[in-house]
Amino acid sequence: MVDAEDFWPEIESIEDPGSPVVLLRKQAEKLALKTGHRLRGQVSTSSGAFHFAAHVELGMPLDEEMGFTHSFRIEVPALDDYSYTLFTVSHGIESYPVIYQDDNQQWHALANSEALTDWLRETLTSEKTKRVLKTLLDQAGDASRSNPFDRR
Amino acid sequence: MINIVFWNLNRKPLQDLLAALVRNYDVDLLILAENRIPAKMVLRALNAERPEFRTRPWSICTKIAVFTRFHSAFLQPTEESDRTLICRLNLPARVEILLAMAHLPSKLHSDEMGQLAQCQLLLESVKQAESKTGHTRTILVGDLNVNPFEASVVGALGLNAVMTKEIALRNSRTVQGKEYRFFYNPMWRHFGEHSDGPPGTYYYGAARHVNYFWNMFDQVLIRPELIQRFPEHELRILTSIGNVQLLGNSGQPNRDVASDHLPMFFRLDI
Repeated sequence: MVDAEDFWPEIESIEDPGSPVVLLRKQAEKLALKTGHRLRGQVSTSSGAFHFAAHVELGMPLDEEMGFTHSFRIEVPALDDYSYTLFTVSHGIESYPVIYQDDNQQWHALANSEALTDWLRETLTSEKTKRVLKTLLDQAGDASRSNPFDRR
Repeated sequence: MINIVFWNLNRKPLQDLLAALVRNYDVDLLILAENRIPAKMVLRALNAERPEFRTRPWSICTKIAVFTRFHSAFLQPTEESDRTLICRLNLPARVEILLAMAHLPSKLHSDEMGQLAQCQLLLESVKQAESKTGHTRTILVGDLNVNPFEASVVGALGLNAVMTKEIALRNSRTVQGKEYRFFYNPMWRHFGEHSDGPPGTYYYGAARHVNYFWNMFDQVLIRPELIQRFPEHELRILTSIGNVQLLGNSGQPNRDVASDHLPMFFRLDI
C-alpha cells in the first residue's frame, strides 16, 4: 500500500517558551527540584466556563467559545498525592491575554508573557504561597509518622 | 449510617449550640463554614457532650472546618483550595466515598459569571479527585452561595445538579457533543411553604426588583452512584437545637441567638 500524501503544513515541534502553560510548567518543575521532590508542581488544563466568565467580567470581546483554564496544583506525594490548587489562569485560542481572579474575586488580564512572568514571580514569592509551602512541607515530613487528621 | 451536619456559623461564637447540636442529632461529622471559633474551643465543647471528636491539625482551606467523631485515618484530604476541601471517607468495612466541601464566594463579592466560574473550578477539583480515586461515589456539601435553580448549579457548565433522582440516574447528559455527569440535588423539595421545614436555609430581604427572600445556598449534591445510600427523608433543615429556636418571631433565622444560615442535617448509609 502506498503511503497517503501528507497535506499537513510544517509543524513547529519546539514549544513556545513564552506560552502560559510552558511558563507555568517551568515553575512547577522548579518546585520539585527545590524541595527534593517532597512537593511537586502540577499544571492541569481544562476548557469551559471559567474562560467565558472571565471575558464577560472584564468586558472583553469573546471571539471564540473555546478557552483553556490552567490550574497550578502543588502535590504532596507523601500524602497519597494530596494536592492544593494555588491559582488558576485562563486564556483563549490565542495565548494572551491571560486572565485570573484574585483573592477578592476581582478579574485581571495579563497582556503578554512579560506581564505573566511578573505576576508569577509576585504570586510565587507572596506570603500566602510561603505559608502554603511551609504547611505542606511540614506535612510531607510528618506524613510517615502521623495522620493529617488528629485529635487535639 | 453516619450523621452529617453542615452549618455556616456567620462568624458567631456558637460553640455551646454546636455542643447541643452534636448531642441532639448524634452528629458524627460536623462541617462548618465561616467558623471563627478556635478549633480547641470547638473540640472542648463537642467532646463534653459527645466524646471522641477530632479535627485536622493543619489546614490551608480556611473557609471550611471539619470535626469528625470517627478515627482520623478514615478521612483523608485529597484535593484542597482556598475555598474547597475534598476528602476520601473510608470507614472500616464500608464503601469509600468522596466528600467534597465548599464555601464559595458570596453574591456580595461575586456576580453570576464569577459564581459560575467558581462552581466550575469546584467541579474540576471534584473530577480530579474522582479520577485520582477511580470512583464517582461523591457527595458535595457546602454553602455554594447560589440557589439550586441558578446556572452555576443546574447548568451543564456548572455543577449540572438536577432536581429529580430519575434524571440524575441517567448518569449524564450530552450538550453540543460534550458529556456532563449529573449530580442529584435534593434541596429542590425543601423550597417554599409546602416543604417539611423552613422555605430555605438563608433569608435576605433586600429592596431589589428581583428578590427571592428565602434562598437555598446551603446544599448537598449527590452523584448517581450514591443516591441509594442517601435516605432523602432524613435530609432536614434544622430550625431548633434542643430548646433553642433558630428562627425568630418573624420566621426568619434569628441572628441574635444563632447564625443567619440554618444548619442542614443528613445521613449517609455507608
